[in-house]
Amino acid sequence: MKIESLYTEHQRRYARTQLPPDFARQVIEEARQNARGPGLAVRLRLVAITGALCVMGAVSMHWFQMQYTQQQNLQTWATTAEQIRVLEESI
Amino acid sequence: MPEISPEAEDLTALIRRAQDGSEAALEILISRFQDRIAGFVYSLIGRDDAIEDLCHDIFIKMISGLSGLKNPDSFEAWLFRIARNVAMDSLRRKRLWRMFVPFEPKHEQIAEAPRTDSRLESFRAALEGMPPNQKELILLLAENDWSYEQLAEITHSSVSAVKSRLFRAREYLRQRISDED
Repeated sequence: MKIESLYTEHQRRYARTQLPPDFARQVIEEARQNARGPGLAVRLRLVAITGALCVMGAVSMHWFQMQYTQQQNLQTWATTAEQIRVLEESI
Repeated sequence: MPEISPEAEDLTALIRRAQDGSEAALEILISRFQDRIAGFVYSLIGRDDAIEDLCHDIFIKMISGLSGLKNPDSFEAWLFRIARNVAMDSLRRKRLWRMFVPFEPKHEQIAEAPRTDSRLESFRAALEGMPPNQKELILLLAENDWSYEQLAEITHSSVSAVKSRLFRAREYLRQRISDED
């Protein structure tokens, strides 16, 4: 027997012990589950929910951004108004 | 008509039945090849902790692609091609992972198959020192007497590349084994 064949046989014998006795059945079961997968209705619902979540996220981001900008503007205006008042008093 | 035992059933007929959706045929097909594929994967990646997962992937791919296999005679080469691709992808991922986590202790837990005779040990040591693209050819040829064309198809390369890699691999093996003797 050639050394390559001996080696292969040896490796095969060891590798065999790493597989469960019902390996073939497990694979078939997994393949069956993969093939079943989620149906069209479920996939459409998933797409709709993801879309709705994206829109809600964008709207709330926009709202928070607006609030922040408004807050900043008010603060800037308060500072400017104070500066004008001080200037007027000094004149 | 007498019933044919699973062991004796002709491979072509078995593949045809599996292509027609027979789960029993698929189960026999997997059982018939699982040891060879597991041994091949183990020899190629050199670790035993991933054998089961990789074999799972290989046979799942086999099941999903089986209906597209036109010529049942090329089944074995086709299956080994899937096995080779899955094992090589795993090796690449492992190499990439080691670039980021170079000192993870589990990297050292490479399986050592039980020690056997010295000839096997020197052959194993020589194989481990060989580049994967040469090693795979030696392992594939130990599985079956593939032609250069089939080897080129399985390993996604040209016939001339296979010939030169095989020549270098054999030279390397000869040298390593004679050095150890």
